[in-house]
Amino acid sequence: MINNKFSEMTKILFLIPIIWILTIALTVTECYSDDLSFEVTVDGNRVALGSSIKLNLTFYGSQNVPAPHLPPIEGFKSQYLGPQTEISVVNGSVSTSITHVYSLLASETGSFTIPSFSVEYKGQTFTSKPILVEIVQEDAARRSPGASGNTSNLEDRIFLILHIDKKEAYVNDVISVKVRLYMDNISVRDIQYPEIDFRSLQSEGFKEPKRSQEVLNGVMYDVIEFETDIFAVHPGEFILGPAELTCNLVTRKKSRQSFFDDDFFDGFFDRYEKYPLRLQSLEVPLTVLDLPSEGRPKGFNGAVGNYKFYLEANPKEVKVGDPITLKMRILGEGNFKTLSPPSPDFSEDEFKIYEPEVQQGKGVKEFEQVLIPKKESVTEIPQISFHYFDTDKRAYKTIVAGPIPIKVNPLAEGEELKVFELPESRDAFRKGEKLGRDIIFIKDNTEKLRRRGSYLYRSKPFIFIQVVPMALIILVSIYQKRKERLETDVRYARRMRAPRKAKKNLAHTKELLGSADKDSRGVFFDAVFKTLQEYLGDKFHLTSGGITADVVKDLAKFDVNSGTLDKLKECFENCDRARYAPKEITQTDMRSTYRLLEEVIDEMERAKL
Amino acid sequence: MRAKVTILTLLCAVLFAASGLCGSVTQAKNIFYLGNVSYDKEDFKDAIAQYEEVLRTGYESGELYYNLGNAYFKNGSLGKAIVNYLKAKRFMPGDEDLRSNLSYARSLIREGVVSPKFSWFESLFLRVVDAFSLNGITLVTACVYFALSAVFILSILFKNLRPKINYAAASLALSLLLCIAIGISKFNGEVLEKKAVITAEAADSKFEPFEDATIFFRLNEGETVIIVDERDNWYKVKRPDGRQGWIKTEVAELL
Repeated sequence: MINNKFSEMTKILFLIPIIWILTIALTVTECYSDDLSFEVTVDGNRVALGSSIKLNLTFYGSQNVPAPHLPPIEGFKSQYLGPQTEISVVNGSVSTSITHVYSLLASETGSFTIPSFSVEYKGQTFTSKPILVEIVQEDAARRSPGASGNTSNLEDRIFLILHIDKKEAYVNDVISVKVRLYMDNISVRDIQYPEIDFRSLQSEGFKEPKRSQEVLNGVMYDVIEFETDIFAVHPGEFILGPAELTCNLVTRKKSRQSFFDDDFFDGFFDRYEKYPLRLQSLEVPLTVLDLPSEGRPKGFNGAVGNYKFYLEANPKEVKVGDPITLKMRILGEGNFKTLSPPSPDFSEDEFKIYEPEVQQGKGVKEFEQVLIPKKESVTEIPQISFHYFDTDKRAYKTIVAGPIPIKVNPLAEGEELKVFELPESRDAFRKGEKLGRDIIFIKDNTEKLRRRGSYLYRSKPFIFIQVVPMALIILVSIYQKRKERLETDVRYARRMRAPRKAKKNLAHTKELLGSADKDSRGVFFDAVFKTLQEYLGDKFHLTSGGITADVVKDLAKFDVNSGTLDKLKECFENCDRARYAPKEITQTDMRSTYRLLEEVIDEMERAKL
Repeated sequence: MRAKVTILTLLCAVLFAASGLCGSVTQAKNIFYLGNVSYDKEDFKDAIAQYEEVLRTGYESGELYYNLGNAYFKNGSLGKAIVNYLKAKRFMPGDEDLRSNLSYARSLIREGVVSPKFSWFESLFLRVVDAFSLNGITLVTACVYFALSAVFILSILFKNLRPKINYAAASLALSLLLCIAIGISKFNGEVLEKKAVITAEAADSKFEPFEDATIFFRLNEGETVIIVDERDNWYKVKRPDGRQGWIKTEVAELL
C-alpha cells in the first residue's frame, strides 16, 4: 500500500517539469505569433575613426528570425558578429527575443546616418528608424568632441604601395621590388607576406620585412617594407601587380560608460576585436629592353650590372701534373643568379681543365677551377676576359685579368706523369678539337648482384670472427704468465708437477701389484714408499729424502684432513712392515696398501691443498 | 634406419632451400640482362621497368644502379638519374665511369650545385672517405685489427722481439684509429644520415610545413639534401649551405 502511494507521487513529480516546459512552449508560440516587433540600436552615437560600434537588430517575440542582409552604410564597414537570444519570465508572462549583432568599423570622419531599412519575415515587413552617428578623430573622441585632424579616411590611414627601382630595365637586369605597408597610428596584427603577380618575370621570395618610419604628405607613418628582386628573361612591356596584402585591423570595442571603462581595466579585459582587411596597391608598368647587339663582345655570357673581376692562382709553383686552383671572383651589383663563369681560352696542350665549382654570396660569386699543367714549358696562366653590360652607361664593358706567372717543375727521374682524367676526355688533346659530353654506356656485369641491405657489419659470422683475436690474446697471455711462473717459482712448479708424477708412479706400482712373486713384494712397497715420498715432497715443497712416517704429524699444519692422515699413516706402517717382516705380507695387504695410496693422493688433490 | 631417414630428409630440405635461393639470383640476373637488352635497343622506359623489377626481387649491385641511373638520364629524369648514381657510388666509389656520369648529370642541375666550403684537412678527409664503400672500409678495418692482434700476440710470446714490434704496433694502432674514423664517417653518411635528391623539376622549400607557408628557397631537380625531420607529407631538409626548410615528400626520393 505504502509502495503504491510512493510510486504515484513519483509519477506526479516527474510530470510537473514536463507540464511546465509545455506551458512555456505554448506561451512562447503564442507570443511569437501575436507580438513580433523589431528594434535597431547602436551602443554609442559617437565613435573614433578606426574604432567600432555595435549595431543590434533585435526581434521580440521570436528566436527564429534569420540574420538580415545589411545594406552598405556610409562611413562604416560592417561585419556580422552573431546572434544573441533571450527568454525572460516576468509575473508569469514569458517573452523571447533574438538580437543579431553587427560590428561597424568607422572608416571616415563626419556625421553619418545609419539609414532606415526593412526586414521581411513570415510575410510581415519590419522597418527600422534611422540613427545618427558621429565619427571623430581618435584624440577628439577621447578628449574634446569637435576637434579636427589631418586624416579622415581609413584608406588614408592604412594603405599599400608597390614600388620598383626602375621603370625601364634590360633583360637579366635586377629590378628591386618593394611593397610598403603604411600605417598611421593604427593597430594591425597578423600581417601576411604580400601576394603579387610578376607575370613571366623571374623572382625569389620576399626577404624578411623591415620596419621604419616615414613622413608622407606631412604625416608620420609606421612602414613595413617587403623587398624582393626580379629579372626578365625576355624583352617586352609588363604590368606588375597589383600587390595584395591581408592583415587584421585591431579595433577598440565601444562600450557604455562604466566603472571599468578605463585604459587600466582594458588591459585586464579583452576589449578589442580584429577586423580582417585586404589591402591592394596600384599596378606598376615596366619596360624590359633587349641587350643591344651592337658592340657585343665575343664570349659575352649575358652578365648585366656593374662588376669587378679578380683572378687568383694558387700554388704558383708546381710539378707537371699537379693541380693549380684558379679562383675567379666577380664582385658588384647585378644578377648573380644567372652569372656564368668567363670561359678561359687555354690551350689544351698546356693545361688539363676541370669544371669550375661555384660559390655565391651577397654581391659576390666565385668560380674555383682546377688546372693541371701538362708541360714544364708552361710559364703563365693566360689572361681571362670578363664581359658584362653596364646598365648605367648602357654599354658593354670588358675586364681583363692576368696573365699570372707560374713555375712548372719537371718530374723527378723515373716518375711518371699522372693526371687524373675522366674517361670521356681521354685522347682529347688534339688542338682545337671540341669534344662532346654525355653519359658513359651501361655496364654488362650482372654477376655482382647481392641481397639488398647485406652489409658486412651486419653479418653474424663476421662479427663472431672479430671476437677470435681478442680471445686469442687472452689465452696467450694466460699461457705465457703460467709458463713464466713455472720457470721462476720452484714451489709452484713442484706443486703443479706433483699430480702428474704421482699418476705415473701409481701406474708403475699397479704393474708391480699384479706380479705374484714373493720377492717382488718388497719392490712393490718400495715403489709405494717412493711414490708417497715424491708426491708429498712436491706437493708441500719438502725434501723428498727426509719424508718418513713421522712426516704425518707435520702435515697436520697444512690443513690435511685427519682421515687422510690416518690413511697415510697406515700406508707408511704397511711399508715399514714389509721392510722388516716381509713374510707376513700377503697379496691382500698389497691391494689394500695400493688402494690406500690411491685414496690419499686423490683426497689431497680434491682438497686443493 | 630412422636416423638415416632423418639425415636424408634434412639434406633434401637444405638442397631445396639452396636451389630456391640460386633460382632467385638467376632470375634477378636474367631480368637485369633483359634490362640491358632494352637499353641497347634505346627502349629506356622498358629498361627502367626491368631494372626496377630486379630491385623488387630483393637484389642490388653497383652496376644495376649505374645502369638504372643511365636509363633515367636518357629518359629525361635528371633527379632520378642522380639518385641512382649516388646509390651506385655506395657500391663502387672508385668507378671512373660512374664519377664521370654523376659529374655530368650534376652539371646539368639548374643554377648549379650549392656546395659548402671545407678546410683543406676536411676536404682531404672527405676525399679519403669518398674512396671507400662501407663494406670496403669495414673489411680494411677488420684486416688492420687482425694484424694488430697478431703483432700483440707475438709481443706477448717473444719478449726479445718487443722493441722491433713496437713500431709496427704503433703504426697499426694509428691505422686502426684512422680506419675507425673513416668507418664512422661513412656509416653516418650512409646509414644514420637520411639524404634525398629532388626529383621534381623544382621544389619550394618553405618556412613551415603548410601549403600556404612562405617560400624560403627553391630547390632544383637533382639537388641533394639532408633530411633532418619528417612530418606527415613533409620533409624538413637541410641544404649543403646549412639553410633549412620544409618540402613535400613527393618532390624528393630517399637515398
